[in-house]
Amino acid sequence: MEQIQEKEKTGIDIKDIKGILKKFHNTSESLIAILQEIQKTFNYIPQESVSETAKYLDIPLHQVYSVATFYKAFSLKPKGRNIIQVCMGTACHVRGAQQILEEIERQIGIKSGDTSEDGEFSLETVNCLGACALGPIMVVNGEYHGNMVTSKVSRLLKEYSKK
Amino acid sequence: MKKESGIIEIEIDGKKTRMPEGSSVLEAAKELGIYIPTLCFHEALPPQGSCRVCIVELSIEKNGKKRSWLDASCVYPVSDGLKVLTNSEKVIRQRRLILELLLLRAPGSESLHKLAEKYGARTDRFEPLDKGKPDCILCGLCYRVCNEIIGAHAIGSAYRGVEKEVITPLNVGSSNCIGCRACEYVCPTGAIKIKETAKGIKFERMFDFEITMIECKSCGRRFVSSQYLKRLNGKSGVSEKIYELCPECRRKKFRVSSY
Repeated sequence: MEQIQEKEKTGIDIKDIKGILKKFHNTSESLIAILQEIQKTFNYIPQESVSETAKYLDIPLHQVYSVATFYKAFSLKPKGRNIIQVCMGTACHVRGAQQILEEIERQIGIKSGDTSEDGEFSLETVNCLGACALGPIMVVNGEYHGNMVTSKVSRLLKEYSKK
Repeated sequence: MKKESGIIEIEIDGKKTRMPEGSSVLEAAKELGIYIPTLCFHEALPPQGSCRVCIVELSIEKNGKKRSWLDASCVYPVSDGLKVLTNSEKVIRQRRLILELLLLRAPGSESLHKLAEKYGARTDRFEPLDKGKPDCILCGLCYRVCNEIIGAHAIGSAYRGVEKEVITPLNVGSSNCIGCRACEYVCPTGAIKIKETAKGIKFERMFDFEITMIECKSCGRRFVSSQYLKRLNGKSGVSEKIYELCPECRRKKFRVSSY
């Protein structure tokens, strides 16, 4: 029952998924590439695509599910329009990344790993962005914002929610 | 004595034995009748060394220098001159810690408590861990038996690190399950519990779904699923009719007729 309801909610066209699948070889090596493409297209991994991928590659469903849940790059829940990544690496941590994260969490009203109800923002933490000299650092939709201070958070969020 | 090729001499707790190359220390200990506790090991599956309960102290002497270390005996291959201590003070101390940590994941497991008692593992040293499914230590035996032996692919692992869980794909009732109960049988901590219901069998915890079973034509006990019979189809080489009866009734019937 639950599964059926979930399917109605997502409203993803199976044809779109099949279109993506056709671009790849139907060998199990394509699994991650397929999931990446699905993630890119829909901004998340819809439930139907997990079973469709398993069928297409002729591998067990649990294998696709294991991979889809293992990597942080894949999300089974719909992601927001703007994706915020806050670096929690050592360098950023000692420069106050925790305060930045808490300020963002407070302003949007979600915890790290969640998506806001209006679908505007997804918040996640990453362990290092390789730009430690700019720490504390956060990335919004691939754009880097270094030397973050809590007072900058509100302006940044407003900018992105307008876009 | 001339050394045979492919045969390795090994000493465990002072007793010597000869094992074929490639055997594990655990197998050698079994050969000698020496007990090493295990949780994630099962004869039906290749060892994987995930629970670490079977650690032993290994040592080797080379050029007059002795080197010793701890390793999981189920995955450590025997080698010439290897000396093994299965119950040294160091082993017991480490095994105790491992058991204490495992108990945080499986505080309700009877078998684990028995083992813990044996090695003096305490339950009050660490904060309880509020993660994962009750009594599951994530050894992986259940989904490995389901996927590698049974081939039903009904359960698998998901997420990673401390979030890792044994799960039915997409976390909904698995349509692949054939109700063979192998997962319940191999589970070392008793985390998987199945009860018989009016319609068939149902997982009490770990997973949340029910499998409808077919009635025995003689006693009416529901004992096998149609998916199971389908999978068995023809493989056993005996008449299909035999599966109309549950194992007990089958035994009764055929015992009479064979006299």
